[in-house]
Amino acid sequence: MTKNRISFILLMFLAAVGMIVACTNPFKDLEISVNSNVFKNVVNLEVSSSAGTSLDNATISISGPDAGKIYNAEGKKVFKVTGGFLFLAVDPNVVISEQAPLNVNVAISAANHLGVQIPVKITGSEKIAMRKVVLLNTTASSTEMAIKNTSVALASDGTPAADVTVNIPPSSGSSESATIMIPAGTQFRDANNNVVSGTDLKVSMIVPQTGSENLAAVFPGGTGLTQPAIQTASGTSAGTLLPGGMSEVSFTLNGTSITNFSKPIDLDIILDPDFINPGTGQKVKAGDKLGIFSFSSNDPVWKQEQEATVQSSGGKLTVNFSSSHATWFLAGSFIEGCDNDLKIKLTADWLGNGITHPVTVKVYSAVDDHADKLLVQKNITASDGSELSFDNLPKAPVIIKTFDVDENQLSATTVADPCNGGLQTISMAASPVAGNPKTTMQLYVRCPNQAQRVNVLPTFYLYYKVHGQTGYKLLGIVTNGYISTTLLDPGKKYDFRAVWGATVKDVNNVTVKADNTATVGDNPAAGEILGTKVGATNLEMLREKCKEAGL
Amino acid sequence: MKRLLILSFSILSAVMVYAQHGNDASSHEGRRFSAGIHVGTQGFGINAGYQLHHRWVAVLATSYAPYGYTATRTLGKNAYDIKMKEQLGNVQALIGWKPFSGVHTGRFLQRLYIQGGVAAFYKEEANATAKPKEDYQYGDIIIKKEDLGKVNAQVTWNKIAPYGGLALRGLELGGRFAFNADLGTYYLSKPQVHMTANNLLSENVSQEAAVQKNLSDYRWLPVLQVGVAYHF
Repeated sequence: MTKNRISFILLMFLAAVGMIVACTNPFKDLEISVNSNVFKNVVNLEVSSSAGTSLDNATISISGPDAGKIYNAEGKKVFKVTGGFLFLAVDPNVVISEQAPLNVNVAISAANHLGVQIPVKITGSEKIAMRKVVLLNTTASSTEMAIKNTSVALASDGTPAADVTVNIPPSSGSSESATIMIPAGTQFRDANNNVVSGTDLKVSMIVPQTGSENLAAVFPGGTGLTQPAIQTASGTSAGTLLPGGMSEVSFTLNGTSITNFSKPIDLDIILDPDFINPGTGQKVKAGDKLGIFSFSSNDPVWKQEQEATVQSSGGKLTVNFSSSHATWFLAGSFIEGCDNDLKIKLTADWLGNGITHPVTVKVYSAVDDHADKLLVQKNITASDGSELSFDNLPKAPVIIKTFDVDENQLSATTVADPCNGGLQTISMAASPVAGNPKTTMQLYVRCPNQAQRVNVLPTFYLYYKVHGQTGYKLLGIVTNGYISTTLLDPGKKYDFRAVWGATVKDVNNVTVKADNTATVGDNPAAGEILGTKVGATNLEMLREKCKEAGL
Repeated sequence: MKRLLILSFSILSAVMVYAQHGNDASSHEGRRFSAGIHVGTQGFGINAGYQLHHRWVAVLATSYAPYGYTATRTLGKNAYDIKMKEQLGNVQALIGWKPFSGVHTGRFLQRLYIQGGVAAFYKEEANATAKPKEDYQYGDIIIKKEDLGKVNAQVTWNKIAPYGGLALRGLELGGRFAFNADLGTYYLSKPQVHMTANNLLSENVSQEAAVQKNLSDYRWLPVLQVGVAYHF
């Protein structure tokens, strides 16, 4: 009896110990990953050509006081346009705010295009800021941009033997044009003020249609018609330039860019007759005084050079002036900029429940409660309550309009005083192209030889187009593999393009469902995908990224 | 925990040898009440006993155990300093039954009880906090480990848990003092895991299910403790 009891007690003890020892290692399969989105503030420049050509071979240079704090998506100092995007990320160790913003200049140059220098101010108000940058193609005219490239034969001493006149006619539907007259005996000098010799002077002239909305995208300075710094007789300040006429004049002699001349050349710019002169509040007329401003890529700040009187000649309004340097010229008016940013909050009932939509916000100058010139625009992947801000707006009424991904207008709001520093709430009407049922897309990634899916995914931009059509449109920003939208029509086939830093991946001919879940992996039998193009390359990329992540 | 178990076992062995000798010297027969202190795997505490019958004893005890433990582990690509902190406080109500009481039973077995009961945990916290051990390099950028953030896992159980085990009670130390020892286990409810994380580690809360699964077998909480009681 006693032995039985002892045996029972021992058995009970051993059973308890066995159960305790059988416990699983609490750290089994546990992987703690550092988020690949290490950046707190990102600026994504959507770089395109006015001719629609790819600028992925453009040369990029980042300068300015805070250039050292800017990296690419991989945390490196190599900058490249990929898939039409230039990704600029702020060192995550740097704390920025509206009181302590970062300022850098982004120079983009490409063959057959006018180079641009874009001042980028990063305040942190938008974690992912998007901006469009358009480089002017100097070989392709359009209805909104007259372009002329011609040659002038010089004498053997490198000067014109007689006065030379070059005229660029207006583009179709426009009355704006320009004429230059180069005096005989003019010597041509480079940036170091050295006289350049040669006999074949290449002259390039561009005249944009100043009443066009597209002017803001190509306006020198890279920030639309609002500029962070404009030099006038009273000093340098932020402000807005309202052009009545513009022209770019550049010369190349013997392969060397000409910066200035030994004699002033005469310029005659024919104005847009519909230009509203802010000084009078009326359409421009003979006798009005307009400022003449210039902008050179060597010193990318608009400067007021002189004042010119509008003249009427042959039924056209012109300004005539002379200058001793080649550059952009603008005849128009300057309006001083606000000290405070204009903060905007976008509200939309149809953007609830996590749905996002690419919204373009445009700020116009206001004339008699009507939108006149497009000053500046921003793009945002908006949800209900999204906020953004505009700086350097003019101390004058503006009209703010919002547009959906197909350029359908969603709202128009007049802001009498954009300088008051308050929050302007704008309610957006439902987009007619966003009436589809809510579609969610969830992407998972499983590394080869791993049972578990990756728990941290990078944030990337997702573009879409109906399968077979051309021209991708932004669907939105995919955060940790997830996006929710009403832009897609369940049942239809789409092509998708994902852009993350220097990585661009296409997935084509996908029939969208209301709930789209996919896992990127190397097991097609389990329904995993590797993309519809270059699957082997994608697998290698997946392996490489997983190896980098230690998975 | 391992050191505490070894220490408890050593004390238990030494005192049992001493108490065997003490058994020969005197007895607590006739004194039904006892009050004592104890120390062991569930920390330290006080207890009170009442001899209901020569084979039955009732015990009421309370214990408190603050544990801390730090380790470095590689979880994924990076190493993390993991600080584990546990606080257990309970009130136990037990009934003990003496299986050996015959006159021919050895004196040691005569003090052996099979105990069962229930405990109410007024303090039951188990936390693990993982912080990166090293700075993190992303491309050319060095992110300080302090800025990477931390991952915290909090584990909780139901506050009521049954208890079963063996006990040696009343091994005489001299005078009215006696030695007690307990070996047993609580059977806890399935643990609930709640993970929080911040900064660049914030997405790791998705690991909650994995930790929950790993800890699902952690239902046996062993007890090994020794104590001294005064009989009156």
